[in-house]
Amino acid sequence: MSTSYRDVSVASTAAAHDVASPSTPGSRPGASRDTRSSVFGGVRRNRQPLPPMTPGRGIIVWALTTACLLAAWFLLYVFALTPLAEARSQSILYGTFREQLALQVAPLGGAVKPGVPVALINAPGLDITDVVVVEGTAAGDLMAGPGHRRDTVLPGQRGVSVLYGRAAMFNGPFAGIATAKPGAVITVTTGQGVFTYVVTDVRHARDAFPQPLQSGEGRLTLATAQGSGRLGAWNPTGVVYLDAKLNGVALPYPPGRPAVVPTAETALQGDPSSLLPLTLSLPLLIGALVFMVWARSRWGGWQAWLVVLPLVLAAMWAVSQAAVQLLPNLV
Amino acid sequence: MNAVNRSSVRFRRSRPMRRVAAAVCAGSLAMLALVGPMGGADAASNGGAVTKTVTASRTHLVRGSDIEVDVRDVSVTVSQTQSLRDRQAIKVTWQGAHPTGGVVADRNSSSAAQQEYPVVVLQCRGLDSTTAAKALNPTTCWTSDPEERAKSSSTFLWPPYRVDRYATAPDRQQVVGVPDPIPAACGSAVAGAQHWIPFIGTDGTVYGGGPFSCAGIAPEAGGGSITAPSNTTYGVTDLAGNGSSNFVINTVDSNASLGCSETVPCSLVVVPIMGISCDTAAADLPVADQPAPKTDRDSADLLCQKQGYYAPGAQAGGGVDVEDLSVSGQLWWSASNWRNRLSFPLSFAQPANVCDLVSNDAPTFVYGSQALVQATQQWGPGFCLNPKLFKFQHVQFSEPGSRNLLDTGSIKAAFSAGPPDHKFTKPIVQAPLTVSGFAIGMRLDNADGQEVAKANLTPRLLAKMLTMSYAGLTGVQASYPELATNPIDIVADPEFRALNPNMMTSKNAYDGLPASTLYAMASDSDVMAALTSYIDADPDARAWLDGAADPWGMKVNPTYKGISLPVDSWPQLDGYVYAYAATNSPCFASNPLPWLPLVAAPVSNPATVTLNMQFGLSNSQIICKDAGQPNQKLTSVGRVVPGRRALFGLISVADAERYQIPMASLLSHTTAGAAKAFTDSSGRTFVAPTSAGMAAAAKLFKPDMHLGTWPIPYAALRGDAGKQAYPGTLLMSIDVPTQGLSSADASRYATLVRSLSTSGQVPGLGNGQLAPGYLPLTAAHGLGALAAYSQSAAAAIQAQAGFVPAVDGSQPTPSPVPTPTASSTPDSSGGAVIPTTGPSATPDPGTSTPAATPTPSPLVSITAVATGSTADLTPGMTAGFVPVLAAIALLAGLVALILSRRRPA
Repeated sequence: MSTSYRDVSVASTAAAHDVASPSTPGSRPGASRDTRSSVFGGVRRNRQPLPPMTPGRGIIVWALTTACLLAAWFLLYVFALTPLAEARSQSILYGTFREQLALQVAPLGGAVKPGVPVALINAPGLDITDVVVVEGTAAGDLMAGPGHRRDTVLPGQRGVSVLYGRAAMFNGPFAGIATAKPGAVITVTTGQGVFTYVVTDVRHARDAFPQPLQSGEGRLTLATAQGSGRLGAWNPTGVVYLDAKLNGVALPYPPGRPAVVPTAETALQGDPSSLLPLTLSLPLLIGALVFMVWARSRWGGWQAWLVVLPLVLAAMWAVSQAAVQLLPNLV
Repeated sequence: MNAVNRSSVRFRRSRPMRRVAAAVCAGSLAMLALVGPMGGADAASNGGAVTKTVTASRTHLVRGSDIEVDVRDVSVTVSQTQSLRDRQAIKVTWQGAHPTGGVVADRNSSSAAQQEYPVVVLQCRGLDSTTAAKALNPTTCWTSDPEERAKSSSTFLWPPYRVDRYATAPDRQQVVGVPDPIPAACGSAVAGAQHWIPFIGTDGTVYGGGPFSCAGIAPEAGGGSITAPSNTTYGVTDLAGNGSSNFVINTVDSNASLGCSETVPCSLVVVPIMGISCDTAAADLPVADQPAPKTDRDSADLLCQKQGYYAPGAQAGGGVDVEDLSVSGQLWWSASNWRNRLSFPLSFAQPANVCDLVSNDAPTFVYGSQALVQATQQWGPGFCLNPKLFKFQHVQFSEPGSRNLLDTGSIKAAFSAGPPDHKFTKPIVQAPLTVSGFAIGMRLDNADGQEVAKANLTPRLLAKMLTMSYAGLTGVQASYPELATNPIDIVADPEFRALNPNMMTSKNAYDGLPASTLYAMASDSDVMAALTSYIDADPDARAWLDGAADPWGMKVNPTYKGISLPVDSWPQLDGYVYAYAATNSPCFASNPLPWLPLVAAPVSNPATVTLNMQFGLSNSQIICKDAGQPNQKLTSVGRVVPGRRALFGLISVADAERYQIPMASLLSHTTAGAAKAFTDSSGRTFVAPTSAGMAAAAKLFKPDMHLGTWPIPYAALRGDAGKQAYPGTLLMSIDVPTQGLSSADASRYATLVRSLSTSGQVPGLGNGQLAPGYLPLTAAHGLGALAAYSQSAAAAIQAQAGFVPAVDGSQPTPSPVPTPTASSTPDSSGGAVIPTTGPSATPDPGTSTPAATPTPSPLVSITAVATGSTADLTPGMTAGFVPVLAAIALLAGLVALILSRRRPA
């Protein structure tokens, strides 16, 4: 036991395992432990070994380390992995929408299933290039790209069309709208054609609404989260809106549009319904970890990691994907 | 309580007002600082016209004594020697030169060098100075064809240039200027007496030239098939000793080997050919360079002392090489001729790309009219070279297209050459910049083969050309029944001949195909809209278009009968397929295209029409290139031989001024009793596109409140008041939105409008000045109201309050720049500068809602209704998860680390 926790700071998973399955020191030659620690990037230190730790303290260290790792994973997920997820979704959506436009089966309005592509927007002044808009504005819908609020008309139709988009996570497609200049052009392609909107203003809380529309006019409102400072979008304090006026005459829309949307689809709301996938995916993660412990004691270190690491990653991805939907949808 | 409330309200309002006042003050000072320095008049404003005189003589040396056979005082005037731009034409006139014989129609061709006693005009690098580095000599003078600078005589070894008494001893050897070793390509061509003048490029490269270019020529040189002719001119002197010629300036942009620019000095060299001053005895020379007495010397004397094969003024055509070499233009470089030269130092304007060189700033773009290019070419450097101003760039684009883009908000400003088709949907102010016009540019030769500078055209003649009602070719006329009874082209049209006496006849073998059409642009253009409005306003032209025959029986091409005018671009409606072409030309055989639209061949870029008119090129796409090959294609006819030209093109007046293209006078007025079938121009007034003609038209401008500008009143121009008014007049304006621009943009465009309409109105050729062909907006021309409107427009652009000043001045408009009280520098950050003097001159969104303040009733009304305000949504606890997670990760990791390190108690 004299060197059991030596590498706790550099290879804490291994340390966690040692705590989880205390074993006799004699059963493991020090050489093999050293090999293992160097496999996991540990730095061998030629120092006097520390005295053994009490089991209570060991558990605390284990718990803290796990918390730290989980938090770090989640940060990695939101910063590095959500853009990947969004890019992939967009790629698929773009293909789907392109096909639908070509076949003239793209949705024209009414009751559209959440998650399906409804429009393609381009706005060079807002740093938006070929972004596919999906139907629905719940946190889960906005993971694939900007969402169209279901109780408003589609872009190009008479009235106000509202699109929500994330400012930070999942590539932050609407990150640029707070700095947009009036006069910038937004081009939207839907099943009804290509529409050009010109930005009229950028609105914050307590600013006056734009003037009511005359008959035959159309407006597009984009909304996203906004905070202060450079990374403000990651710690939002409110919502910023961008209004753009349609050039030309707006088109009529088909009936069947929902009159209201659930709270989860309004601005800055999380989606509580994702608690279900979260509770289903958490046991998956726990199961994978237990399997890991078992496999390690049975098969040895790297064999166990080889088999279990993909499982653990997949389970963590599933947990993260469910958990992130609990967060405000515009972040 | 109430009082307290009121006072607090007043207090709150007064602070922004004070800030606005301060901004107004600072802004107006900034504007003054900006406006002031742009384009002050400099020496270049008159273009530096120069006259020089030389006493030129031809004096033989015979048995040691001078025998003067000819002496003349030649005086040469060059119209412009400063601020020259690439491809522009300047006028060279001379008096007192020897009359020219063996006249050739195309004075820019190498065959023109064979004229006797021409006045040779060349562009040479260097100056006539004592500094050797920059001195000019024949080796730095540009000619396109190496034959113009290399002579050889394979059998007789004593050609005139070898017995030139003024030539140096080395230049009188048998072989001069031939590279050593002789390039293999020259081979046996180099035999006998040789005298080559190499061309030395600006980088020092020596191009030997020689017969058939065997020793290499500059890349810009080249024989024959080049579209634009060489600028080397062999000018013709009439019997009175006078002559003139246009000379096209090439800067480094179009001739890099010659390399003239504002840093590389160049000269215009005029060599009046007097003939070789002979010295056949060659007493000072080595024996090898002395013609043997009697036989050789007598023959050399005979050749050298010749005084011309042709009578003065005679046309060429006696046969090949019959001219007397000793007096021909081919020996312009010989010492006897060269010593009589007059050289005019040239200075060049900054090249077109100077603005890209001085700064990398993103330019302020203005899209639109090509008819304003000559002005923006001078305005642009005036802006970018001024450190207090900025770079603005004119993006040449169709005017109607630019206005559409402006209305959709895709662009921020547009140059227009006419009113919009319909009112803008957004508040956009149209600030007048200058008055100019379209021109019917022409290359027209008379029955004597001389180019005419003046011709009269009626709207009906223009309609005849546009509607493809002339067949152009006899074959077309014979096979197209609807055109069979019409004149074959405009030169044959009795209407044209009645108005323009001494025109060519079929005896001149003129090229009838280009004479059957009006070359124009294919893109949407205000120029085409103006031309067709002018045609539409003429009752005779309109009746003819509607199917009535003209007094001589000519009828409109039925495909255009009843066409509705005006149009932005001329439609190509005729579908007649020329059967003869289809059977004889592989291009037409494989793809039988309608014939007449290919003759008209409208081009996308109006600048192409200008280029074609400058050099007399026909753009009719009927020549089958690479016939029978897989890559066969239709190309243009190309250069029409001078002396047989009748080409008309729709260009701008300013282009015509810059490139010295003759412009037709247009019918402005017909007296009531004028003959229907006329034989002369009596009873009809034709007005040339001069400043006076355009100013007379501008006096008739009436503001149009609906369109927000001054449309050209074509009906009024036809009336008695418009008798002296040029009907092709155009009002050039810059259109800028008064709502939706960022404050930085608003400030820039306001400065642009303000500067261009004030300091940009000084006529001249310098940077920042108004180029020829544009009429300044001054009260002297009756355009004071337009200039004042531009000032209020600039204020409206700066304010960005959606306010468009009324064009008729009936409503109170925001007053322009207030008087400054102190100097200040412009705010480089482009902060909000609100140019208002009074508190309520402009609706100011910053201090009050437009509805709440009494505003002048603007052209574009702003009606605001009260709306709710945006909800203040705050995110829940979960929003700040990122900092929380980061804190957890950091803390937990740290504590775990510390705990694992500590020894247990």
